[in-house]
Amino acid sequence: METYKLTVNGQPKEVTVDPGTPLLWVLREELKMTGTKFGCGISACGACTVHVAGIATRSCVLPVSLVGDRPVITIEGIGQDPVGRAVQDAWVSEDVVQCGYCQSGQIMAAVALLKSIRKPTDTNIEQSMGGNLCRCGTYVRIRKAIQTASQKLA
Amino acid sequence: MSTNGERRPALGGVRVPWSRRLCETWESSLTISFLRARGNPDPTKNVSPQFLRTSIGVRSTFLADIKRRVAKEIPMVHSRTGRLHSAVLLIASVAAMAGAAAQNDATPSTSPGREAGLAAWQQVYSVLTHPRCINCHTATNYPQQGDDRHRHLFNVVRGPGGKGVPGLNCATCHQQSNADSTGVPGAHNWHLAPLSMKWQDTNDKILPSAQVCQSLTDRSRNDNLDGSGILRHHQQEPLVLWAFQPGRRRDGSARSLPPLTHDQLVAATKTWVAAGMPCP
Repeated sequence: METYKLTVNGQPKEVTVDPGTPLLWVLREELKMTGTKFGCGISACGACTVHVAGIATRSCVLPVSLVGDRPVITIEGIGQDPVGRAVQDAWVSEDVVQCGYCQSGQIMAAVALLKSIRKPTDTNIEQSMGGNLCRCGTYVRIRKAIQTASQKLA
Repeated sequence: MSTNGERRPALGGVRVPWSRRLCETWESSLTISFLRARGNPDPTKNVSPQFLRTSIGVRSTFLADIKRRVAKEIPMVHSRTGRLHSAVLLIASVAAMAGAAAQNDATPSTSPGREAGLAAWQQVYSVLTHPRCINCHTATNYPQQGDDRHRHLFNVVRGPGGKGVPGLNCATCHQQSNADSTGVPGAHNWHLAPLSMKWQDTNDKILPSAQVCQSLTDRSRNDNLDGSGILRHHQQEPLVLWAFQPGRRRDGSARSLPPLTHDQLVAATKTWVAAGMPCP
């Protein structure tokens, strides 16, 4: 067990866990931030996506010992960012969500896309979002919402 | 005074025409000796400016050293006997130092021949085409994974810079070091090699040795690396070093290693580069 000091959504946090504990479980079980979901545990589905130093990251395979002093942003804090807010609004206006389980990761990946490519093409969207799986099949609405957010941010 | 009225100054740093002519004669002989020691059978031909500068530079150093030694050890003399004695000493010094220089020059000038170079290349090729290396030297829009070199899972794509795409970068999963607890390999700046450095075809088939060698030595395709640059890449590049410490899978099993150790790869690369980077 070791103690780690993290910065999560701009707030300092301190946890004492095994060094190999994935960040996902630190967020959910130690910090009680359950917005980030467990979908597969092997970085295959994207439900656990958070931002670490601005990069969309699969928290289920990131040991807390490798986070270092890089800031972490979760779904609970993404609305503080203008791009994140625009994406959340678009998700609501386009009625994207069905069961909702994958949507935290979908939103985090979409925000990372729009922060890098402000006017993504359908190809950009398919490539960037292709690692986030949705069993309910909301992909068409996800793509529409990203385009809506892009237009709002333009 | 000489018979022609020319003044004959003494040794000890003052101009001595007779000794100077002797030195000049030995300069020519010394030049020839140096060049032959460097493997040039006919120093009057095929002598590159670099060779000449090297030879002249060394020769001048030796000559200055000889002059200092003579000036220090032999007092100023004016007699013919004394000058003859000085000349003999000078000749002996030059001969001894030329011999030592030729000896020293003979040893490092031995370069591996083409056969040795090709043998070293085959060793290098065996590492380059191991999954730990070739999985990221693809000709496609995706990297490969595993010892069976299957297409990387999770819809990962190359992206414009070989680092994935926004939202699905290489760094989305691969960190600065191996994450053995979760089975994800990692190293600094994890990314795909550019398409110019592909060692497979578009059907994921490994290219033959000659083609990989040509790709590696083509400076228009290898990020303008010369032999020393390639050697440095094999010595220092974090992703190359990672191949020899690739970490463990999720189930705890170790990833397979290339057929050579890193030190052996560097040694083979050195031999290959020293041989002029011959290709099959």
